[in-house]
Amino acid sequence: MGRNQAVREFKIYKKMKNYNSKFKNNRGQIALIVLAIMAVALTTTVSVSQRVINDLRVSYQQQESAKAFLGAEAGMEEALRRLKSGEQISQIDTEQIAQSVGISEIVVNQPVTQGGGEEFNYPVTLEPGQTAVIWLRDHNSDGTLNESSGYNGENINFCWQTGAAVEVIYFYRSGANYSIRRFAFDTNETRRSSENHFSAPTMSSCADLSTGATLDLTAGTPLFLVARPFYQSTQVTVEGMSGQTIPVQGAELTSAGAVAQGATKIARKIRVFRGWSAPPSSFFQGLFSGTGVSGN
Amino acid sequence: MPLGEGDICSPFNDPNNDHIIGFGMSITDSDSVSAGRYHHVRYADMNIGSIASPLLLVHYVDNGDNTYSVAKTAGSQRDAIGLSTYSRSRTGSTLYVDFSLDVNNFPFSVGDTYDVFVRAEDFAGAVANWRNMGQLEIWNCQGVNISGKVYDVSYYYPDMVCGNLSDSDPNISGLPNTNILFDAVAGDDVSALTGVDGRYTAALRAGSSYRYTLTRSPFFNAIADLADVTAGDECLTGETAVFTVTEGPRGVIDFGMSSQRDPWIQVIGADLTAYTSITVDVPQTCVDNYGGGGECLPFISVSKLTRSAASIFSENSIVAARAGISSGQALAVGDPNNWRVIDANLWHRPGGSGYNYYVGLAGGTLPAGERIEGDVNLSAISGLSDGVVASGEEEVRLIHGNLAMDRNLTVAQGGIALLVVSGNITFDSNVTIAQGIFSADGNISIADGDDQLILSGIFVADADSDGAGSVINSRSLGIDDALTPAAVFIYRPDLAVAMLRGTTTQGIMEAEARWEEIRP
Repeated sequence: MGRNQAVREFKIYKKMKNYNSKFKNNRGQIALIVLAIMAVALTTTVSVSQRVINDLRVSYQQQESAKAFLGAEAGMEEALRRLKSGEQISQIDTEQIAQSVGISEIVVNQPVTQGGGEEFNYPVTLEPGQTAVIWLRDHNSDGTLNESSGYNGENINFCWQTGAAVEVIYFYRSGANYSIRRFAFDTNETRRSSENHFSAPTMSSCADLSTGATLDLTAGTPLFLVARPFYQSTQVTVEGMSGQTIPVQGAELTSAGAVAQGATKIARKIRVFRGWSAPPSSFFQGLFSGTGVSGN
Repeated sequence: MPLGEGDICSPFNDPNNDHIIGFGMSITDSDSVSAGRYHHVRYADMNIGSIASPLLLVHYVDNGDNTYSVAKTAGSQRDAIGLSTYSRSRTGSTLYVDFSLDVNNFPFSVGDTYDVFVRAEDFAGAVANWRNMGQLEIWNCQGVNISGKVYDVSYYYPDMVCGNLSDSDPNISGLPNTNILFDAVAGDDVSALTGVDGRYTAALRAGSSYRYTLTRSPFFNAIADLADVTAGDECLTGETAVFTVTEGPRGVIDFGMSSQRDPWIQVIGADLTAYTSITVDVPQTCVDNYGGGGECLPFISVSKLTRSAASIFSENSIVAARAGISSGQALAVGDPNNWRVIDANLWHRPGGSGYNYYVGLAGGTLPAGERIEGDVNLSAISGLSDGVVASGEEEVRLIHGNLAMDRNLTVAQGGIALLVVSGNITFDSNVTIAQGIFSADGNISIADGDDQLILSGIFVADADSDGAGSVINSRSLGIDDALTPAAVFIYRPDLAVAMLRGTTTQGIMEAEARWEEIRP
């Protein structure tokens, strides 16, 4: 029994001796592995932390940017309301609006008239079927049409972008009567011949746009044009002829909101073109249905 | 010449006594016996059964085609068995005697048969024998053997006689088991005569006329026995009487008939835009009429009311739809410019420009009287109940409900009527003129009625663009649908301009505004 115990202890001793010998031989490798693991863990931690920090920062900036945009919108809404009601834009309480949306600053600029030059680029890109009114008469201070002054040229160039077809409805006055004349152009020859039977444009370039046509306005005193594109969206421009200027079409307003961040600002800015009041687009058509039309 | 009213089985209503059923004979007296200014036949008689009353109206026609009336002679009734009537002729003339029955005073009994005899006597006293003309048979509740020209009154030709054919005219539709057999009138186009056994099945061809008879048994059966009444029949003292009987008593009438067409609408100087499809069934009859020089304009979009009228406000307009345009038999969609657009990308205003849009624009500024809650009739709206809007007058109503246009509405140039409705706008059957700007979130419906509806102004259905609401026409002009639209929409540019000048309308117009973000 005592001997057996001694043999077992001797075997254990030998195993431990062998193990210690191997361990001493691999100590460098283990240290390297531990170091590598630690480096990876550290890198990951730092990266995640940076990402979280960035996300937090971006999120904060987005939040502040959204607040700045909201402030700009609020300023513009108030400006448009005042324009409609005849109140002064300069008297907008921008500080109060800024506080209400939680930003540091709102700036609303005075309206800048649009039009009044030799050509007028309609500031809205028109979608197919959408209408734009281009005024050929001046407007009174109360926003009503002044039929006694305005564009008096016998012709006017109407410009749009290749690919679109356009209808132009010319409203004019002849004596005591109001009448219209329609023009319809398409740059696409296939559509002209097989589908819509519109006229071909007469100009290969017009103002800054790629196509156009000269409209005959001699039927009466010009009042306004209503433009409606088809098939694809387009910008439209009218170009006065014989030195005639295009009447003022409306005004441009800008409104900016800003949030201070230390020495810097997060700012957003909005621009709005506001034309003269006009009937909705459906009112320039005799019969309009949001769905279908059945004659029987 | 309408033949009568009511059921053809009843006696004809002939208040003017101008409907006749004639028997006739021509008589040549060859004895050359002079009797002063007159010679030849002294009288002619007719016996019809045992009728006691002299019902025959007699006249004669001389060789110059002059017609002379001949009064019935007292005592002309012979032997209480029939009728006799004196007649006479001028020298050198041939006597034609029409024994014309006053159809309003038939004494005949239905179902009986009557022998008809005629004879003549000259001034020399020669009397022909009674000649049996055959039998007059009175059928029970039978139709007259009608013949006549049939005109397709889809086409208003100057020689059209009868106008519109209705059930109450010859009452064809009231006759059971009636078939109409057509014979072509010489010189007319008969190519449209198709069908089985000559029965009418096809639409009458434009510009053609047709003669037809009913296959029903006639009121009068054939009575002529011409074999018994021929030239050379011996008269006493050598006179020869030639009796010619008309080819059976018959009614003669000219009919106007027209194939029923679907009603249709037309726009005049007005753009027509639909965000799904447009279906207008322009009839072929309009096309034919147009080609034949008529006034009908076989197009959806035109510049004038009729071919000969002046253009209204502008040339024709553009018909535009997202899904498709169906124009029936139209020659083209538009005239003079066949402008049409099918564009699946047509812009659709989000939310539309419906009732709530205008309420939002108006804010609280619109006077209380211009806001109406609930369904309303035009005649109940203050300021519009008289149906007249004068120049300078501005009538704006925002109606939270449905609007029934129960009377005409006219708007003078310089005035404006703007009716914005959250529900439907219905033009009642009695309305023939409606002017103004009409905007409905739901339907614009046109009720059936007898007369064409002239809609002048601006008309918007499904204004709120929620996909519920369209333009629905139920008006039908009956036979006139063949040649004219049931409803026409005429654009009124002055109304759009009036909106720009109006004080109330200023408050419900929106300035074009484009928002965009730019660099700070």
